[in-house]
Amino acid sequence: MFEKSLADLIRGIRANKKGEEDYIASCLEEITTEIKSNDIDIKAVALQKLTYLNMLGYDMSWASFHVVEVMSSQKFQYKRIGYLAAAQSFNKDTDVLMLCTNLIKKDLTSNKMYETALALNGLSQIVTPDLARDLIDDLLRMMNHSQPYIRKRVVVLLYKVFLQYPEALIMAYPKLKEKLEDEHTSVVIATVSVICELATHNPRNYLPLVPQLYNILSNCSNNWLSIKIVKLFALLAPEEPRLAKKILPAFGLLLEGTSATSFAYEILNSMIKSGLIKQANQALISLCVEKLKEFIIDRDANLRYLGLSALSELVVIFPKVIGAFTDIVLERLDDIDLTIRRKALDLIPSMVTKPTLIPIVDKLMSYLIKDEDEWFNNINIFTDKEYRSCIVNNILNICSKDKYANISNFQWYICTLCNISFVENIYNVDNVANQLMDVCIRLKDTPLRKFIMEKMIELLKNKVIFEKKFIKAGNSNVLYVASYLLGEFRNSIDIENVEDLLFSLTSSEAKELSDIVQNNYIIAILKIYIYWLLKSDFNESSIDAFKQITTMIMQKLQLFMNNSGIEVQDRANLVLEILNKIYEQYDPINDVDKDLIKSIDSLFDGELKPVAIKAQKMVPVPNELDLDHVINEEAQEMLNEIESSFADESRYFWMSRVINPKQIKEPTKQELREARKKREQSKKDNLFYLDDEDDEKPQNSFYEPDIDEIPIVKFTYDFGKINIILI
Amino acid sequence: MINFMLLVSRQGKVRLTKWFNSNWTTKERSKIVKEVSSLVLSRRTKMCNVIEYKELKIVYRRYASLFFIAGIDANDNELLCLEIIHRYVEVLDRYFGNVCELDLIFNFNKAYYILDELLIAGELQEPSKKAVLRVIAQQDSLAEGEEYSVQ
Repeated sequence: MFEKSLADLIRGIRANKKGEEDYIASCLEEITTEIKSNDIDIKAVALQKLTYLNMLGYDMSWASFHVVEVMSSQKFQYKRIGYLAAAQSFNKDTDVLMLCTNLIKKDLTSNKMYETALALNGLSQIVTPDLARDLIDDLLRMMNHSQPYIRKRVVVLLYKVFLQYPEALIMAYPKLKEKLEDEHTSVVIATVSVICELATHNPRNYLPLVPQLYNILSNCSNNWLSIKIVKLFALLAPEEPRLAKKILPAFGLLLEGTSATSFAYEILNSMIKSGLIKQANQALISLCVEKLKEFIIDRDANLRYLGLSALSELVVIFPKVIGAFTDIVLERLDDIDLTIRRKALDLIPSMVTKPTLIPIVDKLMSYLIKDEDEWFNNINIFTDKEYRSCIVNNILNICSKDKYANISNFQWYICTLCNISFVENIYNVDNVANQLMDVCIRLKDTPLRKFIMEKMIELLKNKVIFEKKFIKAGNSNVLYVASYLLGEFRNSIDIENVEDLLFSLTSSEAKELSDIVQNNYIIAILKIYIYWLLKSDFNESSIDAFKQITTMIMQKLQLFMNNSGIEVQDRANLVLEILNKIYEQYDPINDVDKDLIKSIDSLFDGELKPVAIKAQKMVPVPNELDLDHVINEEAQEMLNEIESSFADESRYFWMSRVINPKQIKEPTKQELREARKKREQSKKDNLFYLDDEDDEKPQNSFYEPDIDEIPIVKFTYDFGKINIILI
Repeated sequence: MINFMLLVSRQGKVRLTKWFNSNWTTKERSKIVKEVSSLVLSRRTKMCNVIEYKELKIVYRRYASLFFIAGIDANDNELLCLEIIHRYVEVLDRYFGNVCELDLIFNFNKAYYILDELLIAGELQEPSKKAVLRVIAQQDSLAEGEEYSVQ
């Protein structure tokens, strides 16, 4: 008497939404008793319930013996419950699998076709090396089974068998070849599928099948089969150079003739992925390009996505081909599907050239500053940080490529970077700031420098960037760049703007900025102030301006001194003291005093230059430097020790001279672990021990020989021998 | 090769899991089910049906309240996989007669048996709907103890 049928269980779970866990626990308890029942009806239903719960994530490995019991039932309806449970729950470590060999053998050779099929399906899920070895003879015999229904299963199952028991492949190969000619298409499909999987591991083995496969392909009307064969040819072609010549025209004809998109896609994709397309003639390449275009503009999102994916692999082979796609790929940036947009975005770097750069970047920019209310398919693009950051990265990458080679108008680029600084909802504002810094330092042209300075002053004065959201998101860190550049290249600032700039730098909003920005602000104030003193011609009437501005700055520096960051305070203090000294001692009308200012200005001398990655190599090695000279002899010996430990044999050899081998007791893993624990504990307890990760060298403390006694010089290796031993 | 096949409801309830790749432990499997279903459930309608997932590709399609999800190898044909999924749904639909999620919940074993006729070891074994339906019907009658004979 069992308490619940499967339907009862499922209904119960649905009825107990709140106490589901408890309900299932009680059901599991019932199942545990039911499954031990002697009544096969009860046992099978219990197993079926358990399989259901297993699907929901509950363990059923404890019941594997009962699974075998049900599998061995005489009744088909129970057998299938048993096999289903086995397929779902057994893995290679299930110990009852050993009990299954005879059971499966019996079912395989059963005179009832569906029992055989059950066993084949089950075996495909649970086959182990042992099972494979024990059953291979039966399986090979069954490849000639009278029913195609069985033959196709055996063929596919064999692939799983080969994985577990590779020797079987040699035995099965002739029959597999035979099955390519089977009268039933489903058997041929199965055979080609298996060969296709096998060919991903070792394509060379299947080259002899080419004529047969070619025949099938030319006479084939089955879409599924054609796709598999095309895929297989793509795997084989790289192994045999002559194959491309034969197969490419066939591919061309098929591609032109087919109306099945999945087949057309397979031909395209296989040709691109295998590199076969490199050997195609112009006509075939254009056909591929046309087909790809059709995909990319198709109404079906899948085709658009797959088309773009294939295109991104095609551009790796033929970089120039992207020219034909520029417009349609750009259109995909507006796609309703974000995944497709992302794919299109990935393609952008490959299509940028000098003339197309500006329109492409402007288009990308338009997505960043588009209306907040724009919704696509229920996703507000404006809030999708990931996608927006991708766009920004894309802009930075395509512009900085090859040291900004594609940029013809740097004023435009600097404006663009400044604009991105105000873009919300992106992760990578810091990258933008870094690039702005990089590009501005590289640009030495005087009018451009002037332009940069104007732009930076604009940034500094823009109140928007001090808004809380921008400060929080890190956008304001662009002022780190602005303040630095203004200080460094102060000579390019128009002197009329300087007083105004000093006011901006000391505005009270500055205290909201992060410490690293404030640091740059303070130094910029000093640099620009000194520049102002040097460039201004003071006379009796304008001396007041000097006093006014100096005291103003001194007052405003208080702002920075209230900062809790020690570095900001320190810098503010330093600058304040310098200004104080100047205020007290400097007479702007007296030319002699100018030397003081000049000497301060000289502190900031020197020009920043970009350093090439390979620069270090260009530094010549000084003559007196001998890199081979031994600076520490002990270190040399330690190095030798490490080297010799690579070859176990040799270490053993000279070690044995030092220490009596009998005294060496190999420490067990457990002992080693304990020793290491102890050592780490004592390291931790030692206040004076500075932890150093490099400490973990492969030294064996048990073999600490007296280094002087090691007769390294006398020993000669025979490397040839050692190698042989090691192998 | 199809590595796994999942049926997940719109609420994230698992309705079927079939693993053709035996390389994963039980733990890894449940992790995959979790990650893949949340990936698929977060997709909007009109989005494409292919997602990259680790070294696999996820191909899915929604039918009413159920997502049919397959994890295929990187070099497999996504469109073909969609056709296989569709074929499976068609067979289910014919078998149950206008199939709905409840049919599959209460007859979860049938869903597996039908899948076993369509796929074996992650490969398509029978492209013909009719053939699948015929053998399933024969198996059912066999299970019900009715007379049958193998032609």
